Amino acid sequence: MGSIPFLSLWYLLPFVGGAATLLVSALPHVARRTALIFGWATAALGVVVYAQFPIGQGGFHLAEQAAWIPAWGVSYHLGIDGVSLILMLLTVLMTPLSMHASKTQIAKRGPEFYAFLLFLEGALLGVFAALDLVVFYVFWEIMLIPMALLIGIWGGPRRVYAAVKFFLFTMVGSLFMLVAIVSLAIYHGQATGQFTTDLEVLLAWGVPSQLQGWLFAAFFVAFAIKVPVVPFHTWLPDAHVEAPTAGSVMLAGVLLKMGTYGFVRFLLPLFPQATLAFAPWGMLLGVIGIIYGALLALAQDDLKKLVAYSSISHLGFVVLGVFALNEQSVSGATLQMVNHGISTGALFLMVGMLYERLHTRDLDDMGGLAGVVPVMAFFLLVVTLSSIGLPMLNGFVGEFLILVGTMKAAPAFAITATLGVVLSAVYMLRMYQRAMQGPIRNDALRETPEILRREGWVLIPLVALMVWIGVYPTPFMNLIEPTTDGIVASIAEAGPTSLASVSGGPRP
Amino acid sequence: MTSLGIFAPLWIVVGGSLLCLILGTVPGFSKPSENRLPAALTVLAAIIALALGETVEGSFLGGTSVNDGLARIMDLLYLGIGAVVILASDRQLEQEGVREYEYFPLVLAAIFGLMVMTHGIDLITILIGLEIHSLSVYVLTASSRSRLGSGEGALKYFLLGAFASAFLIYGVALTYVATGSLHLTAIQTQLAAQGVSPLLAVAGALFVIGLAFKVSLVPFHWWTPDAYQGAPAPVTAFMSTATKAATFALLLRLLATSLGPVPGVAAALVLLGGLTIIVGNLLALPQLGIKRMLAYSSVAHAGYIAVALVGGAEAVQPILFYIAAYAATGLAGFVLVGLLQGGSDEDLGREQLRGLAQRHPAGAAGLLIVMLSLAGIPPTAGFAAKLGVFRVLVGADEIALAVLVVLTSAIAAYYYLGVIVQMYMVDPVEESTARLARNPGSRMAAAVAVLAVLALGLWPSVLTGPAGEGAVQAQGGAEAVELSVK
Repeated sequence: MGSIPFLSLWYLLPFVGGAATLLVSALPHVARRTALIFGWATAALGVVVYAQFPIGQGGFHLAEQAAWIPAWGVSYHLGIDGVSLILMLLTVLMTPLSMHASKTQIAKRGPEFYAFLLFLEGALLGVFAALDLVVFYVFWEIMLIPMALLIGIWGGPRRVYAAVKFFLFTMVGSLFMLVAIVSLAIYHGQATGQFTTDLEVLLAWGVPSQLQGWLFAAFFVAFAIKVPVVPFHTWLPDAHVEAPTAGSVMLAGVLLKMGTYGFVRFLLPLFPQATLAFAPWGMLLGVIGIIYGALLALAQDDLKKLVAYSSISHLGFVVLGVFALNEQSVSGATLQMVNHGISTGALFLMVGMLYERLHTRDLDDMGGLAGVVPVMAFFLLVVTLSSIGLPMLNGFVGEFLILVGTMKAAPAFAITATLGVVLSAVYMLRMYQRAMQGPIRNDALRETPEILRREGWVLIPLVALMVWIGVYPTPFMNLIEPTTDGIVASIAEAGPTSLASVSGGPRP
Repeated sequence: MTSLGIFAPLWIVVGGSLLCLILGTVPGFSKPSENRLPAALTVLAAIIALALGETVEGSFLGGTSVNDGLARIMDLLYLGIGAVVILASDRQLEQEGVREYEYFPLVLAAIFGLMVMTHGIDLITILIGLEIHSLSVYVLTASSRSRLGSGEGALKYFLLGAFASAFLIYGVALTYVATGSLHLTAIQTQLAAQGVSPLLAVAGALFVIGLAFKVSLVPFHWWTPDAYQGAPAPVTAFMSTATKAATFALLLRLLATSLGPVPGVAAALVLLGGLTIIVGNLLALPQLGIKRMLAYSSVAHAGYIAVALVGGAEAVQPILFYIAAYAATGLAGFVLVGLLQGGSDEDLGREQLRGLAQRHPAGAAGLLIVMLSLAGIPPTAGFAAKLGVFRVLVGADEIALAVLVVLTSAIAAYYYLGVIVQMYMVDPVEESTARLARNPGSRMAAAVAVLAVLALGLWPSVLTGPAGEGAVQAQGGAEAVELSVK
C-alpha cells in the first residue's frame, strides 16, 4: 500500500481514452488516432504491471483497498493473481488489435465505435481486477453497455435483436448472482457480525456447506450464460454473427472468458463442497458443449457462424477442465481460455478480412483462394491449425492438459471429449479446404486483393503467441499454476480427496 | 432557539411563495419568466438556512412539529428537487402553454406543503401539509393551456386525490376516536399501553388506501399516466419525485409510530408493492409514448420501495436512498423528455427518438444514463438503490420477493432498452423529428440531474454515510418496527 495504484490506473486509462475520443469526435481521424494511442498506452501499462508482478507466488498482489459503501460492507478492493493478469494482458492486446482491424470496416460513427471499444476494455480490466463481489458485479454489468452498443450500432441486419438478446440474457443471469452476493454478505454478517462482500474475507471465512447449494446455482447460471455453457448458449450465435469484426473479436477473445474466469475465481473457491457435488454434472455439460458445438459447426456454411459454434465447442473444453478439478485440468483450462482468445480472436479477424473482400461469408461462394491470396491462406492455415490443437501450437498444450487431467478424474468424459478434438479437425479443415482450396468458383474471386500490411501486423502478434505458447508455455504456466494449484488444493481440503467417492453424478 | 429559527427554511419558502404571488400583480413580474428569479432565490435562501440549522430535540409549534434528521434530509431533497424544477422552468413553460404568474408561487407552496407534512408529528398538521401540497399540484398539473390532456389529467388527479384525502381524513378521525389523540407520540404511547382496537385497524386500512393513492400503488395508480402526460414537463418531474418522496417519508414516520403496531398495515403495503411491481412493469411494457412509459415506470418504482418496507427499521436507510436515487433519475428523465416533446399535445413517440444519438449526442447520453439507472444497471444511482432493496429483502429472508424483483427487472430492462435501441441503434428516418429544445435552463437542469444520478451511483456513501445515518436514527429510534408479512 501507499505505492502507485497500478490497477486503478490500468482500468481507468481506457475510460479516460474513451472520453477523450468522444471529445474529439468532430475529427474522425484524430479520434481514431487518440483511441489507438490510449489502446496501446493501456497495453504498455500492462507490461509495467507485469514487471511489477511477483511471478510464481500465489495469492493476490498489487492490492488496493478503500472504503466505498461502508454502510453496506462494500469496499473498493482490487488485486490480481496470475490468472487475472494473463486475462488482463489478453484484453489489452486484443483491444488495440481489433481497433487496427476496424480501420476500413467501420463506415459510420467511427469515434463512437472506438470510444465504446475503450469503455469495454476498461470494464473488462475492472472485472478481472475486482476482489470485492459488488465491485466485480459493477464492472460485469458496465461491460454490457458498450458491448450491446457495439453489436447494435455497427452489426449486421439483425443487430438490434442480437444486441437486446445479448443484454437481457446476461442481465437476468447476473441479477440472480447479485441476490446471491447480497445473501453471502448477509450470511457472513449473521455468522460473524460483519456484513461484507470482500472476496478475501469470505474465502477466509468459508461458506458453510449447507448454504452453498443455491448460492452455487445462482453464481453458476450467471457465469454459464456468459461462457456460454449449453443450454444457455442461444444468444451467442446471434451476437457473433451480427457483431462487427472488432465486436466478435472482443466477444470471443475476452468476454466469454469472464464466465470461465468467474468459475475459477469465485465459484470454485467460494463453494468447494457444492463444486465437488456438481463436478460430474459440470463435466457432463462441458462434454455436451464440446460435441454439440462441434456438430453444429460441422453443419454451417456461414464462415462466421462456423467459428461461433466452434467457440461453444472450445469453451466446452474449458468447462470440462475446470470441473475435472485437478492441477493439470484446471491449469490447462485456464491456459485454454487464453488460447481460445488468441485463436478464435484471430479467426474472427480473418473472417472479417475475407468478408471485406468478398462481401460474403458463405463458404459455397469461396474456393481456391489459396492461389489468389497465398499469404492470407497461410495465415488462415496457421490459425486453423492452432484452433484444432496441432502440437507445437498453443491449442495443443491447453487441450492436452485438460484431457490428461480429465482422464484421471473421469476417463469416460475424457474419451468422449477426444471425439470433440477429432470433430474440430474435421470442421476446421473442411472450412479451410472449402475457402482456400479446390477450383475457383467465379471470376470475381480472382480479383481478391492480398492481405494488407496493416492486416498482417494485426495477425503477426497473435501468430507469434500461438507458436510461443505451443513451443514454450512455461512463462504462461508460471503465471497460472500457483493460483490454480491453490484452488485445487483448497477444494481437495474441503471435500473428499478423490472424485470417485462423490456419488450422485452421471456415469456415462 | 425559537421555532422561528428552527423552521427558518419553511418560513422562507412560504414567504417566498407569497412574495412571488404579490410580485405577480406588479407590472414587470406578471409573466412566469419574470417571476422565476425570486423563486430561485427563495429556494437558494432556504437551502442556506437549512445548512445553517441543525436537528433539535423535542417538538415545537404547540407540539405539532419536529426538526429531526429525517425532516432535515427530506427538506434538502425537496429543496434540491425544487431548485432543479425551477431551473428547468424556463422557456419550456411558454412552449408548454403555461402563461400565468401563479406558477412559481404554486411550486413554492407545494414545496412548503411537503415540508410541513414531513416536519409534522400531529395528524392534523400532516394533513394540512399534504393538502397545501396537493391543491398546488392539482393546479400546476392543469397549468398547460395549450395541451388538451393537461386539464384532463388534472381533473382525474383532483377527483381521485379528493377521494384519497377523504380516506385519510376519515382515518385520522377514527384514530382520534380510538386513541383520543392526534399526536403521533401520544398515540404510540397509548397503543403501547392498551393495545390496538378494531377501530384502529379500520383507520389503518383507510390510511393505507389514502397513502397508496398518493404514491400510486396498484390498484390506486390510474390517475398517474394521465396526470404525468398532461402536466408541463417540470411539473411532472416535480410530482413524480417530490410528492412520492414525501409520502414515503410520511409512511416511514407513521409506521414507526401510530401505524406500526396496527396489524396488517405493513403487510398490506408490501403486498400492494408486490402487485405494483408486476402490474406497473407489465403496463409500461407496451407503451409507445415515452412519457407514459416513464409514468408506469414510476409506478413500478414505487412498488420496489413499498416491498422494501418488509425490512422494518432495517429498510429505512435503503428506502431513503431509493427515494433520492429515483428523484434524481425521474427529474432527469422527465426534463429531458419535456425538452424533446416541446409543447406537443401528443406524447413523445418512441420512434421519434430514432437516431437521437447522432442529432444530440449529449442529450442521448443523458437519456441513456436515465434508462440505465431506471433499469438498475451500474454505475448509476438506480443500481445502488436496487442493491439496497436486495439487501433488505434478503436480510428479511424474503427470497421470493427478491426473485420477483429480479424477474420484473428483466421485463423492465426490455422496455428501457427499447429507448436505447431507438436512440443509438436504429438509423434515423425523415419523420423522426424529436429535437432537443434550446432551453438553456432546462438543459442545465437535466445535466445537473444526470450528474446527480452518476454521483449517487459512484459514491452512494454520500447518502448511506453519516447524513443518512442521522435520518435513520431519528426515524428508527429505540423501537425497531417489525413488519412481518407472515
